[in-house]
Amino acid sequence: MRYLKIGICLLIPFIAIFCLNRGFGSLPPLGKIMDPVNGFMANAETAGDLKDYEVDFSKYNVAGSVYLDDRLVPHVFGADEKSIYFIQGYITAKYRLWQMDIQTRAAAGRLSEIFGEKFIAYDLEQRRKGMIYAAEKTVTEMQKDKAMFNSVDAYTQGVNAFIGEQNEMTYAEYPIEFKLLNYEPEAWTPLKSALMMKYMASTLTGFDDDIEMTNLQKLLNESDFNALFPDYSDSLDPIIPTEKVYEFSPDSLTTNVASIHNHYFNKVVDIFESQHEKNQVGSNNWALAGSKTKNGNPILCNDPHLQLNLPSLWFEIQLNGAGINCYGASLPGTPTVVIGFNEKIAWGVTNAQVDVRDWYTIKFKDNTKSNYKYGDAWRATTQRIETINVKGGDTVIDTVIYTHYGPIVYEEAVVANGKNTPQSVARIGMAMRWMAHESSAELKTFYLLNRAENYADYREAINYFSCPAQNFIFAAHDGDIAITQQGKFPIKYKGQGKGVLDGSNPFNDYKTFIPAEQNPTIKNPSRGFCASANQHPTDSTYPYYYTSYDFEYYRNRIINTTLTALNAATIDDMKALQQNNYNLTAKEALAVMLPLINNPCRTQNATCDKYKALQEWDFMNDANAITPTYFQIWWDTLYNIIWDEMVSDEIAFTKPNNYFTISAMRNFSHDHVLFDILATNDKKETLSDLIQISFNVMAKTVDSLALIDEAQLTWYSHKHTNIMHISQIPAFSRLAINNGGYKNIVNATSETHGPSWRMIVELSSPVNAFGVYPGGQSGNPGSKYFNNFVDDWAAGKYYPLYLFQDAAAAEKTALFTISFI
Amino acid sequence: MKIVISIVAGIIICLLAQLYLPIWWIFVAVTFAVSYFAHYKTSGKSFLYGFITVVISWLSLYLFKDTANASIMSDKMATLFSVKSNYWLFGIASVVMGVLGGLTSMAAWFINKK
Repeated sequence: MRYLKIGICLLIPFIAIFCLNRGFGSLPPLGKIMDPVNGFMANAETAGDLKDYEVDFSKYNVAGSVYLDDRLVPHVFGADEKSIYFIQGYITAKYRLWQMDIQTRAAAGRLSEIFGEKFIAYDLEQRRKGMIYAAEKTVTEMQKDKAMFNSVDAYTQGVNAFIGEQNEMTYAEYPIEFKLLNYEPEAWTPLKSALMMKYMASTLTGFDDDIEMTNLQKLLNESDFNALFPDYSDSLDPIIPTEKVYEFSPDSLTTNVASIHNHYFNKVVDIFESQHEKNQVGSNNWALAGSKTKNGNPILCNDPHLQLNLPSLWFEIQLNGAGINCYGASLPGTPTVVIGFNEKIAWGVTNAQVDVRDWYTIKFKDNTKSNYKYGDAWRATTQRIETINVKGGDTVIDTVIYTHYGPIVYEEAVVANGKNTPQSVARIGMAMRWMAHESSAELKTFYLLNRAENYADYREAINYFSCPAQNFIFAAHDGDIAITQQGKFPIKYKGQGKGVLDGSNPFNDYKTFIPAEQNPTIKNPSRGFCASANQHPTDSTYPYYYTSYDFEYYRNRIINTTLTALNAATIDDMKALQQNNYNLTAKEALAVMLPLINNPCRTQNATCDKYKALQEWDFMNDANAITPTYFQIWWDTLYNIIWDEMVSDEIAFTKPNNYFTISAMRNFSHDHVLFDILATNDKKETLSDLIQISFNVMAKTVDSLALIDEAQLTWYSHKHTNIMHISQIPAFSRLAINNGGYKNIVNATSETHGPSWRMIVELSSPVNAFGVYPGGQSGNPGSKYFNNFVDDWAAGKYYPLYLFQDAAAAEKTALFTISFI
Repeated sequence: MKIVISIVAGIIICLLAQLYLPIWWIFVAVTFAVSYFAHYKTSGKSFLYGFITVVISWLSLYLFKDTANASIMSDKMATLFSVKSNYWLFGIASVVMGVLGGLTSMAAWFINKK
């Protein structure tokens, strides 16, 4: 009996401890996590974590100090170039290690290792897209440039010095996410830095609508297609002002027009991408010449609109030493400052939004898929074995076939021959041609920009940038301003790559690339400013053909109009423009919509108040306004019933953007066949019917929302901007941010995306700079520096950015210092 | 008096063991050992003293760090685990571990009882 009691008293704790010590599925080891010393409480940051300390890294041959200021921005002072990038790696790892780990795993298609089976499809997509293949090419390219590679190598050593050479971090020291997801940090490599660059390339250029366009070209007649998806429009307000004369003509460009592919591409083709939301990335940047500013100094502004997450994509840092002194936003996982300034110049980027990814259909010789047709001959394919390790499951091995175009993403894409149904099905291979696969080392651009002093340096630096193509804006203390759309662009015949291309015809292949000096660029334009907001780079006089999955048509007009009217500009004017909530889409849409419904106020209908509100609205999408909610519900409903033809479970389609939707509402006859609702067979609707129907739907929706809670109608709560933790844990996220703006508005804060780094730099001496991003410097949810910028960002506040001249100045204001001896 | 001393000693040993050994379940060894040498009067008492030792040491470790951190970490963890508040989280964890510590304390009592 006694032994039984002893047994029970020991067995219960033994079993309990055994279970609590290991994870089950997605459940982490609770015992280890709840440990009040080494578990999650070890991640609870205290004053003791913000004290000066010294590290002895003499074996790495580095020396310097990093001064953390009151916002936890590291000011790195290194003895030499190696020390600077080593310390950057060390300090970034100290605050963002888990983010660096998970983002590079996401890029490489290695999430199944952490999250298990449900991420196999995602990982397969990354492998099929050739992400690791592309990153490996970048590493090879970087190794050719000694100075460049040394900086990546020093950064790598810095990260690994933080982790410890054989992962000497204790469980207590792990970032909380490693504990919750139950895995360990691994050593950093230059490949991981390259993967981070490809992660950005994929975020900014990793989509297209070639398949959808091919289908739409057959669904719509030619004039409708050209009206809804044109290459240019009459009021596009491009990046390069129309004053620019292009004094070159393409060398060997044929005037042939693309032939439409004779297939309907089934939605199954798009199986990977169907998991993603339509792309929402975008950005604003502008630079004013001294002639337009109050103090006579050039001013440069930039706000890249990317997915808003915690920890933030950006990490503020100052790098000083060995002839460098720059400040700005860096990408955790890569050395250098990406968007920033030094004492002489400032620079920023927006996405070029030009399509640099095309699809080629591939005819294989036989089922071995070892040869494919190219002209009159057969070419050999190569293979790349991709191994995906799955937590708690079997390893997945995928053999990816490569052609000279690139990887076969879809080996057996389902297509239908010439009919609007997938009944007569054929299966074909689809190869992806993507500029991110080109050999290039984009980091070199930032490496050089960090040191640049003038316009010539800027032009030299951006030459190294192939993909993702960006609009590099520039302003210098000496007075120059400039903007260049920089990237590697193939020379295309008109229409090439707007749809899917026949890969067996060499005519469709890329032959040469646009010489870098012929990329759209302008220096010191007569209007006194340069600006870009993801719109068309040029007007139609630019000699080369290009296309896009989504150019911007609204933010650019607001910015250009505002800057044209602005004189004696101040920092406050710049802040106001970055926060501008004017909804130009609404203004132009309502100009068509309101006159086409029966005025409910005449019949004293209950919807009169909404109609009146919309009529009197100042078009400001301010956080606490209600009318923007009325408009958005009305517009979304209308948009969807107008383009009901372009929704199919079987065929991949996309819809015209807002600009060409409004233009169709203006220019198409009201009984145009596209305005008819397909689902109602007995009735033929006109545009007026659609506008009335959608207005009524909006009124009902608003009333039912108001019944639940009036507060839900305020714009910010309807829009519901969430800044999610990268792992989507709501407890670590900030939800329903009180902020206005929306897509196509200068303050482009949507549900998930927004200004991820607002920067304003006046090139006075010393430089007068301000910035803010919606996050915090620390990636640790247990730190008060984890999300401390969010509310200030939402309220439109900025912080002064300190470019310290010397270590003594940095030390004076430092919260604490880490010395590397 | 002897009991108070043994409990206080148990708590101190438990705190030190938790702080300096990277073994989260070390408390069960502590309560076992303390009970083995303290010779508590009844099995019930041995459970209770073991339980108290663990609850007090875990709670104080939690609260000491949590105060210095202004509950930034624990509030998020409470939300993550869908527990009412950070104090509930600390309470639940300490009580669960207290029961385990109580059981091993009791096991030592039964071993002593020849």
